[in-house]
Amino acid sequence: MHERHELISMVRQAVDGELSAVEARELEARLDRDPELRAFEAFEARLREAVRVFMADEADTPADLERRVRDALRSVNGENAPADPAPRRPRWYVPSGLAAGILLIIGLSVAVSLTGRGWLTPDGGAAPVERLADELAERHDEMIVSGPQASSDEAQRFMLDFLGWEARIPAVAEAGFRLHGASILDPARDWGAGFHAFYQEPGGRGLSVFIFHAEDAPTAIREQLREGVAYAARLTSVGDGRCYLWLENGRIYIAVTGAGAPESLELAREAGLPEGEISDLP
Amino acid sequence: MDRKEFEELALEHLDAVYRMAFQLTRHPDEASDLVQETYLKALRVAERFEERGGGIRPWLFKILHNAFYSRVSRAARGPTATEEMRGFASEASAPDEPLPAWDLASFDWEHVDDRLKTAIEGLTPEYRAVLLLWGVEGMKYREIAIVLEVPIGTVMSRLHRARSILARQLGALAEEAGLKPESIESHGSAEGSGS
Repeated sequence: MHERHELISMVRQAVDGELSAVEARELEARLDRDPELRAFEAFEARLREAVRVFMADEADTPADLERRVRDALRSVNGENAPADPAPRRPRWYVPSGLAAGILLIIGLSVAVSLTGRGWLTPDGGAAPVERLADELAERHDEMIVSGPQASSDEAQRFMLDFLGWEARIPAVAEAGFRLHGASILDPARDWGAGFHAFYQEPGGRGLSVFIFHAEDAPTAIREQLREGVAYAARLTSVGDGRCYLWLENGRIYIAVTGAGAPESLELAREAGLPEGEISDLP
Repeated sequence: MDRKEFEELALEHLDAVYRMAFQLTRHPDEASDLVQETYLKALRVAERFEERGGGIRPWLFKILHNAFYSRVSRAARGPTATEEMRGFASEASAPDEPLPAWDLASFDWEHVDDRLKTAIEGLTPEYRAVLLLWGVEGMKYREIAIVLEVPIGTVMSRLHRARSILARQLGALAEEAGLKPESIESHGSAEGSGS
């Protein structure tokens, strides 16, 4: 038996076409026995239509806006690109190891359970792994960033707040790395939203650990991974770089290594990063 | 994607992008500025755009949304509060009030615009954005979550609250018209509203 507020939520999801077929059938049976709930369903459907009509008509696009935007775009193509209005905020960083495409092998010095013997060959099903590395590099400047010297507890809360799920954030102090920052990966990709922990060691080497919900990962990858076994994979287009993957408690971890000086947040802003959602970890 | 290709592809969605900008800013001039900034930002990263089934429009919305909050943050001269901290102060205490469910045949839907306008203007930009993407763009919760970069649960809770507010506004209108909406949440209990 559903509570009333659950029924209200289900009705709204039904109106929005978000219920599964089973849920929809269950709700329909309930609506047949409950005239008030049926009336609420009709009201919600009508309200959605009223919102659609009202918001669609509320604001007319100014007549000169298209010309103005075209002019602005064409000025970028020429010599007079508009200056970026965003002020520089150097205390937040995007680690540049991946962004620069410089990935180095540090092998098993990274003490994060990379103990498996699996190897994803570069043909067949392994191709997505290799593409992944490139994609991670591409996504790197679209992330929420923080640092330096992030607190693991704060990063854990950051993960839960923005992703709605939790995962163990590896501690790699034994290998000389300290957590430098945490960020959220752009969810508009095949792997869904993910978490990124960035570590640095005093010598400047960087380590990035990306954590994804296994259910969001491509089937081709997920089906190859066994819990507790770590896999290594070659990276394409970045020389002899490598990454390591493992499945742990329903999360897929991907560790990649890199080096390079941090770049300013400006790069992130170029991709339209919401400054309002940047979380500055102590 | 070169500038010309981008221009033709992206400007097809100018009206939709402006609507979103207007809902965030509620000011025509600010909305126009924001739209221009959005297209400039989008052009700078256009080569990274990949068609993933949804077309370019959600991507433009996402850049617009981020650009808006960058502006808000700059205006505030510091990091903006996150969703959880921004909250929904005006309504946070009453998201689960009884909802009206009156006889639709008796309700004059032709005259709800003023009430809708009042209710929508009372919402924070985040809630207006969700309403627009849901109501006008017809996006799924998951698609909205991607554009706004929030969990699906956040999209659902924002929609729930926004709809409850709109329903209460329209409920007031119905009562003024002499209708007596029943509370579906109190139906069957001793706490019926409007009776």
